[in-house]
Amino acid sequence: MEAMTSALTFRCRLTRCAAALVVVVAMPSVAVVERAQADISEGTFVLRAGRVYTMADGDGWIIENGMILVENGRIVAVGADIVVPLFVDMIELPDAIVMPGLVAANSSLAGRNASEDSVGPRYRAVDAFDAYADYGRILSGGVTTVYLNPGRHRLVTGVGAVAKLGAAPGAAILRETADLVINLGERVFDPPAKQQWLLPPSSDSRIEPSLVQRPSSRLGQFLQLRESFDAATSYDVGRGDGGRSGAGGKHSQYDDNLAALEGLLRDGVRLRINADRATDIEQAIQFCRERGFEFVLTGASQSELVADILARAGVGIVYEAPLRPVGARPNLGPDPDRLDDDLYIPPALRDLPIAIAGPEGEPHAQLMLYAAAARRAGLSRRAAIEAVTIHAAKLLGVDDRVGSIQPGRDADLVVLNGEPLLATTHVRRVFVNGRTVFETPEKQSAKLVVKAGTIWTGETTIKGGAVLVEDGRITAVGETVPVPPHARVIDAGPQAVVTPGFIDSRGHLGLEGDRSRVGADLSPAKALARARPEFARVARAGVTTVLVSAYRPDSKGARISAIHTAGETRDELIVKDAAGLIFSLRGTDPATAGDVLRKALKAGKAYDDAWKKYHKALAEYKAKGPEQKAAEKKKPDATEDEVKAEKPQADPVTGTWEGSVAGEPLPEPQDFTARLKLSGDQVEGSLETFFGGGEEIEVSGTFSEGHLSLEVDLDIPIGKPTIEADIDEPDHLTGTFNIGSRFSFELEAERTEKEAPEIKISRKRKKKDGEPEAPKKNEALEPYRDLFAGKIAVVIDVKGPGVIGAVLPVFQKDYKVPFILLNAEGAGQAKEQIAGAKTGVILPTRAVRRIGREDYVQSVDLTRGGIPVAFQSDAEDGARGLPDRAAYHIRLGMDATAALRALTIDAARLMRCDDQVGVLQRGCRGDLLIFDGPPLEPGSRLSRVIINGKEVGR
Amino acid sequence: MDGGRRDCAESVETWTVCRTGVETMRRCTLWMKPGGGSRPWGRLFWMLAAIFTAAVGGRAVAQTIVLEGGRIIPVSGETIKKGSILIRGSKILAVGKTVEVPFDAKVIDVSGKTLFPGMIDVHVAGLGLDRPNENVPVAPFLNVYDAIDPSLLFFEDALRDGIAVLHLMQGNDCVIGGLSRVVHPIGMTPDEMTIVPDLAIKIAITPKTGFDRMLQMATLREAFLKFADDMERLAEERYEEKLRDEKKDLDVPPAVARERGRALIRDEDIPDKDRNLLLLTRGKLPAFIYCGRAMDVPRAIKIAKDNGFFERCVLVLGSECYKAVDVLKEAGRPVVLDAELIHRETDPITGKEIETFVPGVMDEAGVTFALQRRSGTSLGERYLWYQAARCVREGISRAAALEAITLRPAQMLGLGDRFGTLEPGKDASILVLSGDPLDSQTWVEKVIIEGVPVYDKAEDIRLKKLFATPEEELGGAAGDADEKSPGTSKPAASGGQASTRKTTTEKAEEPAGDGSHD
Repeated sequence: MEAMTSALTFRCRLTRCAAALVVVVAMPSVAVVERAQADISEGTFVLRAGRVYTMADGDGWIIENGMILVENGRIVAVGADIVVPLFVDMIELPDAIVMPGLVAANSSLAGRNASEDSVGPRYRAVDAFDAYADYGRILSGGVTTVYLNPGRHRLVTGVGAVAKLGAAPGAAILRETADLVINLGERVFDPPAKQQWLLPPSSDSRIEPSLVQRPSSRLGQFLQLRESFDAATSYDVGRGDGGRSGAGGKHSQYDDNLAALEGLLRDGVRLRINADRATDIEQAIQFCRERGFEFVLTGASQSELVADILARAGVGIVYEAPLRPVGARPNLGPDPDRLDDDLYIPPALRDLPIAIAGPEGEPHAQLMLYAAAARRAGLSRRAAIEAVTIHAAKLLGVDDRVGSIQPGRDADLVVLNGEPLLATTHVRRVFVNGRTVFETPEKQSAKLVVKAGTIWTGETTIKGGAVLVEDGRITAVGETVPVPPHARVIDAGPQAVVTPGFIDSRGHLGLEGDRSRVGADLSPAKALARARPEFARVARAGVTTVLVSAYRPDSKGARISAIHTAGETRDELIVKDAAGLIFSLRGTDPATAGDVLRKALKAGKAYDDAWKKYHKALAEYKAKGPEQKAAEKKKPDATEDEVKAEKPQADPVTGTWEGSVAGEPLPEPQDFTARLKLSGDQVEGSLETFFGGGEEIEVSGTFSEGHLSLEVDLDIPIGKPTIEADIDEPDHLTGTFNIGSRFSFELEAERTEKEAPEIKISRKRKKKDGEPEAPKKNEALEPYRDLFAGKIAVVIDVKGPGVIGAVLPVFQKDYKVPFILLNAEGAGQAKEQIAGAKTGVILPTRAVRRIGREDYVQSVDLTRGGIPVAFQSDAEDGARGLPDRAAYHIRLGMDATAALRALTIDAARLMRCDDQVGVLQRGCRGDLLIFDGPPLEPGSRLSRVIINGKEVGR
Repeated sequence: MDGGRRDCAESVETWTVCRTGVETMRRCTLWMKPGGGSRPWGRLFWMLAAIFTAAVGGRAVAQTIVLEGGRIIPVSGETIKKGSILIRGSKILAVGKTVEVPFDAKVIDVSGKTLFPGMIDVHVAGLGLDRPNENVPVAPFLNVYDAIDPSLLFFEDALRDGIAVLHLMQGNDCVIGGLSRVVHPIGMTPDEMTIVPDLAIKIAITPKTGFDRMLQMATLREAFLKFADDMERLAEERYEEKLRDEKKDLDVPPAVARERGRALIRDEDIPDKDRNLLLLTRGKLPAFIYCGRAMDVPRAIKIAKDNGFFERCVLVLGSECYKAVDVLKEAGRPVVLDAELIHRETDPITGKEIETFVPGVMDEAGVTFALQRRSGTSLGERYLWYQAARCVREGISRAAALEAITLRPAQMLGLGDRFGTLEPGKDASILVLSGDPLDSQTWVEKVIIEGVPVYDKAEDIRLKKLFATPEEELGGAAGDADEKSPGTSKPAASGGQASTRKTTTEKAEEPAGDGSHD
C-alpha cells in the first residue's frame, strides 16, 4: 500500500515535471508554468471502459472498449484507439459502461416563485439555485445538468436557467437566461388579485383597489400574453437613446415586470411553453409564429392530436415521463375531459428533438428510469437515451457543453454497471468537469453481481445466470438475481463459465518452510496476520482456499486450518481456524495403526464428553427456578473444606522454589518464584514470574518419580505455558519452561522454604449457588469437540491396503466421525471398503504409478468406483499448479466433471467445509472463478478470480 | 432601586466631574432602569437637575482619572503586565507602565485587574428595538432611531457583559431595511445613547418571511432599477423645467436631456423615501448585507458592485457561508460571522455528520471577520468573550480572536480611530475585568464609557439579587446598616483616595446592601 502511494506520488511529480517542461519550452513565463501545473493536477486522465455511449450523431454513438482522454475537465479525444499522452492517470473500467452526464430538460429544483404576479417575467430561476448545496443524491442518479424552472403556477413565471450540479460554484451556471416560461391551461387560471401599496403612506397616497389579474379562461391567457408583450415592446419608447424624439409622450410609469420583459424581448429570448391540451398547443404555435418566437414545448401530453402541426413546425418537445415511482397517480374518474397522464408519442414526432423529464414532484435522480419509461411511449432505445442526453442538451441550448462525449465538451461522465435504460442498471461513479462528484459508497461497493453464460454451482449448471455477492458472501444464485443499487456488475459474457473457487485439500501455504513437528494445539491459521505476497500467485491460479497443515504432524495429530489465498482482514483470510485434524500413519504397522488412532480419539472423546456434560448441566441449571438455586446455596462448599483439611507435610516438592528461566528470545534470565504443594501425585500452587504482570498465577500438574510436570493457567494463543522439570538433587530443580511448542526456556530453581505455602489462589472456585463449572479448556483437544459434532473431519495419511484396512473399522465401529484418507496408495485394492465407509481420498501428488507393467491412475480408478477424491499440493505456493494437475488427470482418463468436483465441492464436502467454500450457494463465501471457456481445458483462460467478493488483481 | 438612584445622585464624584447635564443623565441611567415605572418623573427630575448643574456649576470640569497598576490588554500591542491608563475627559491620554499622574487626577487602583477595551457588538439585528422589522419589504426610509427602547433590559445586560458599543440595526427579515445607529448601552433617550446616528443601511439577500429567493432578488434588483429610473425621470424633468424657464423648446433627445438634467437635480427634489438609496448608491452610506446561506454571498457582492456600494459593504454571514470562502477572499470585504460558530450538516449519501468551525476557515483564508453574539440564550454564545475564547480554543491566534470583538468591529463601523483598542487619543471605553477577558471565571468589574465609570459590579442590584444568600434576601436592611463590610466600601466614593477591594464571585462575600454611600 505504502509502495503504491509513493509510486503514485512519484508519478504525479513526474507528470507535473513533464507538464512544466513542455510549457517552459513553449512559453517561458513563470506565471503560466504555475497555472499549467495547477490545472493539470486536476481533471486530467484517460478513462477506458467496456463500452462508451458517446451520443454523437451517426453510427459512432457507441464505441466498444472506448477510451476518453480528459484534460483540465474537458474531453480532448474519444475513440477505441486514441493516442494517450505519457504520465496521464489511467482509469480502467473494463466492466463499466460510460455515458454522458444526464441532462434533465425540466426540473423543479428552483422551487416556484412566491409572487402573486400572473405575468412575472422579472423572476429568475437562477436566483433560487444554490450552487453550494450538496446535490449528491441527484448526482447519484447520473444527472449532471438540470434546467431550472421558475414554476408552473402562473401564466408567465419568469426566466428559466440551466445549471450544472457538482461543478465548482462559480462555474455552475451554464445559462443564466435560458428561456421565458409561459404556462397554459387550467392551472394558471384565476390568479390572485394584486394589492398595491404606496409608500410611504400619507393622505396623498390613497389605497388603490386591488388589481384583478387575468387569465380566468383560455381566451384570457392569450389576451393577457399579447397585451403584456405589446406593452413591453412599447415600454421602452422614450427611454432608449433617441427613441422618443418627436413622440412627445410622457415617460411611462416604471413597471418592474414590463422592464424585465422589455429587456428579454430585446435580447431575443426563447420561449418555453408548458401546455398539455391540444388547443393550447395549437394556439401557442400560432402565437409564436405570428411574433417570430423560437420555442420549446413542455408537457404536451395531447401532442398526438396535433402531431402533424407540431411536426410541420419542427418544435422541440420536453415530455413528462408517464411514470410516478414515488407519488401515486391521481384518480381521473369517468370525466373524459380529464387529461390522461399516460404518454404516447406519435410516430410523426419521433424524429423531432425530444427530451424526457421527470414528472413534477418526483425524484430528480431517477431520470434514467423516466427515459426507460419513454420507450413504452414509442421511443426507440437510442431516442430514449438521447432524450436525456444530447437532445435534452440541444433543447436547452447547451449541447456545445454537455449531452455527448465528444472532443471539446465538458468531461461530465457517468459510469454505469450495466446497459442504460435497464431497471437493474445503476450509476457507480459520476464525473463533472473531470472531477469525481459521486462514487459508490463503501457500503454498496462491497456488493458484486457476476453474470455469465454458464454458472456451475458445484452441483448444477445454470445457463445464463448470475451470482450476487454481498459483504463477502453469496446471497443469491440463479437465472436472475437482485441487483442492489450501485452494485458492481461483471458481465463476463455468454461464453464465460463461472465456478466456485478451487480448494487445495492439503497444502502448507504460509508455513514458510517450517518443518517442525507440531501438535493439535497449534493452529496454522493463527500465525497468519495477513496474506503474504506469495499467496497472490496461488490465488491467481484459481486456488482460493487452502487447507493448511504442518509438514510433520505430531503423533497425537495436528490441526488443519482452512485459509483464503487473499483477504485483508482476519475474517476474510481465515475460513475455518480448526478445519480438521491430521494424523500420519504412514509406515506404521497395520496391527497397531488402529490403536494409535483409537488412543487419540479416546482422549478427544473424553474431553468432548466433559464439555457435553457441562453444557447439559448448565442447561439444567438454567432451567431451574430461583428457589431451587437458593436451596442449593445453603449446602456447604465441598471444595473449601478440602482446602482446609489438607495438612502440610514434608515431601520433595512442597515449599517455595526460587530460580530463573533463560533462553532465546528472552533478553536476560528472568527470576521466578513458585509456591507448590504436593498431595498424592498432584501438585498445585502458584507462580510469580516475568509474565502475568506480577500477579500470582495458578499452576497445577503432577509429580512422579522425581519428575515434575506443571501447567500454568494462562491463556496464550499459542498454548498454555508448561514446566517440565526433574528434581536432580534434593531441593534443586532443572528442566524446561515451554510456551506452546514454539518457545522453550531453560529452567533452574532451588527450594528456599519447605513449609507448605499459603496458596493465595483457590483453584476451584465453585460458584456459590451450584452453577456447574466449565471443564478446563485444552487447546490440543478443542478440535475434537467440532469433530464429534461432525463439523470437521480427520485426515489420515495412510499407505497400503493393510493400514487402510486397519483404519476403516476405527471410524466405522468405534468412533463415527467424518474422516478422509490421505494419499492412500493402494486404495484401489480396498475400493469397496472405502466406498462402504462413505469416505473419500485426497490423491497423492503423483498421478501415475507403475504397478507391475501397467500404469495405474488412482484418480480414475477411485472416481469410477464412486469414491470422491480431492487434490493436494503438499506445497506452499506450489499450490498454484493444482488446476493444471487436475487437467492432467483429465488427460489421463479422469472425468472432467469429477476433476472439477475434486477441486471444489467434493473437497469441501469431504472436509466438511461446504457451508463455506467449494460451492456456489447462499451463505457461502463469495469465491468465484470466471473462465472464458470450459474450466480445466488447457486452452481456457482464467480471466478473473474473486475471493470474498473482491477481485484479485492480475 | 431607589437606593441606587440616590446613591448616584449624592455621590460627590458624580456631581463634580460632569461636563454636561446630558452626561449626568447618561451616567445615572443604569441605576434608574429597574424603576421603569417612575420613569417620566425621573426624567423630568434629571432634566431639571442637569440644567441646574450646568447653570450653577458653570463650567465643564474635565475629569481626570488614572487607572493604576492593572494588567493592560490594549489589543493594539503587547500586554502590559502592570501599567496605568490616564484618562482625561472622554479620551485616553496615556497608556503605559507608568503614566504621569496630574495633580487633579483621581487614582483608581486596579492592581490585580485586567483592563480591556469595551467590547463591540457590531451587528445587533433587531434587538434593543421596539420590534425588529417593518412589514414593508423595501423600506430604506426607516430609521432604527424611531424604534430604540432605552428601557429594555437588553442594554443593561450588554453593559454588564462588557459591551460598550452596540450597532443597532433592523432585523434580517427585510429586503432593504432602514438606517442603523451606533449607541452606548447607557442613556435615557436614543439621543443620549447615540455615538453615531444613521450609520448604515440593512440589506438582506436571504428571503424575508413569505418570500422565496426569486422574489427577494427580483425585489432587491428592482428597488435599485426603479430608483435609477426615477432619477433619470427627475433629470429629464429638471432639464425640461429649465428650458421652460428659459422659454426654449425641447431640442435634444431624452438621453441628452437626462445627461444635462442630472446636474440640475437639487437635494430637495429627491423624495424622502429615496434619499437613503441615493446616499447608498453614491457610496456615502455603508450597507450591512445579510447572507444566510453561501449561495447568497455571490449575489450580495454582485448587487453591491452593480449599485456602487461594494467598497462600503460589510457582509453579515450565516454559518453555512464558509463554503463561499473563496468568493469572500476575493471580495476582500470584512464579514460578521454568525453566533453559531460551528456549521453542522449531514452528507446525503453516507449520512455522516460533518462539522466545520467557521472562524477557522475564514482565518485561514485571511478574511477579516468580527464575531457576533446571540442574545436571549442561556448558552455561552450570549457573551462576546466566549465567542472569542472558542476561536482561541480552535486554534485561532489570541490576538486575532481579541481583535474580532474589539478593533475589527470598530473598523467595520468606521470607528477604528475611536474604539477597539486602548491607545492614547481613543475614547476612554474601558472594561475593568477581574481576570483575563477569555476566562470564564472573569467578571466585568467596572465599565468606563467616555471617561465616566458607568457600571460597577459592586453596585449592580440585579447581580446582587441573583447571588444573594437567603439571609441577605431576608435582611436587606441589615446590609444597609453594615457600612464597613468590605464588599460595600466604594473606592469611587472615597474622595480620590484609592482603596483596594477584593471582589469575589462567592455568594457569601457578595455585598449585601444596595445603598451604601458616604
